[in-house]
Amino acid sequence: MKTKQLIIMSGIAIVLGIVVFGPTLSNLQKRLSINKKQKTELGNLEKKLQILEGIDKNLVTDRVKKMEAVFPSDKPIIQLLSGLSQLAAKHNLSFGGISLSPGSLTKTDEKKAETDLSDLTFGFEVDGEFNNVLKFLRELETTAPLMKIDKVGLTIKTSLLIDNISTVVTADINVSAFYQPAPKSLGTISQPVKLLSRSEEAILSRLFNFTHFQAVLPVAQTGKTNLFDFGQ
Amino acid sequence: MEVNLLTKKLNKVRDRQRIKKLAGKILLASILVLALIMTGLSSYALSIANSNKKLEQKISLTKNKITQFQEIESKQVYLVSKLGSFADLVKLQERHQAVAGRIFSIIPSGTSLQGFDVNEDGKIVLSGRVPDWLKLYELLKRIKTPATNQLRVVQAQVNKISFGKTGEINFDINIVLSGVNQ
Repeated sequence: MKTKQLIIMSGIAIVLGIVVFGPTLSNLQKRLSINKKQKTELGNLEKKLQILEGIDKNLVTDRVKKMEAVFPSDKPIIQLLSGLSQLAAKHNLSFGGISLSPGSLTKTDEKKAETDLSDLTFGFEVDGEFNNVLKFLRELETTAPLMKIDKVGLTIKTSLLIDNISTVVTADINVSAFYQPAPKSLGTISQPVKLLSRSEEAILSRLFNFTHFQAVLPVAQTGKTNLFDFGQ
Repeated sequence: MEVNLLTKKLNKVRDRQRIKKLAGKILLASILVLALIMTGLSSYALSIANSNKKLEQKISLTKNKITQFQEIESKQVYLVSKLGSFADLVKLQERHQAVAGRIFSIIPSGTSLQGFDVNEDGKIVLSGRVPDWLKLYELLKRIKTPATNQLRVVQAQVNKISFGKTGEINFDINIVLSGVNQ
């Protein structure tokens, strides 16, 4: 009799436990897991906010402008030609003989990832004094947009002169200019922002060693002009 | 002889009543304990729910604040995305400048270069003219002199030496530099 009653009571306790405590415990577990997730998310967001608050707005803006001039997001055809012709003029050299293969002007290259590094190769000639050509070559790699000299061929034009100071040469130069498209999205809001390390800061500071020539475009009048407009 | 059966029956009934009472007490105590645990759990769950609400509000507030910094974030992401390639290119450029510097340090003054060609493998084809033997000797000596930096001449081959009408010496030399492709 006693055993029977004990079994019945235990049964009641187990049923009560399952019916009442089961849902309560699972509900509590869910809330605890949400709580944990939210705490982690808040921690990450606060860290990100702290990083963003610590970034100097003016400095980052200057760096982006300089980066875009030195290592552009699009094919730097105009900047390149303008920069080279101005650099040649600076060193009293005549600039010409350009062979450029700009390729596609629209982004149709699907094989490459959108943020892959691309290059634009072209050749040109500069004529002038040997020393000026040397100076041009030295300055070429610190001129925006970023370029790499692939090949240099020097040909003496005034062959009778032995003294290299007054020697006029033609330099046939092949150059690659680099560009890389900018990322299209920032990702999710909880995605962390990477802070730059000291070595990365040092690399970025090199951007400011590059000479940037303003792109000079020919100005042509278009459309109708009011010939009777005297600026009244 | 007289047998009292009632006492035995009475004892049995009393035992049953005791057990029933004890069972009732245990049940009541269990129910009370369970109710207490239930209340505790429920209030804990409620406090967690409140905490979750507060956290949600804080998250939303922080997200709003982050959105205000979107311009800075996009610029930072832009810089970080380009930094890797830029660093590689700067290193490559440094090597190129070193190659150019090494070549120009080889050529003595008074040399007229008719042409030189540098490719990325570090092979240089150097052709030109020097006014006399002394200059040619100096040029060859400079090629043989070990460089202080990584770019030393590992291979040099004189392809041609010829004399011009006015006594000048024409040369054609192939040079291979080490460390160019590192």
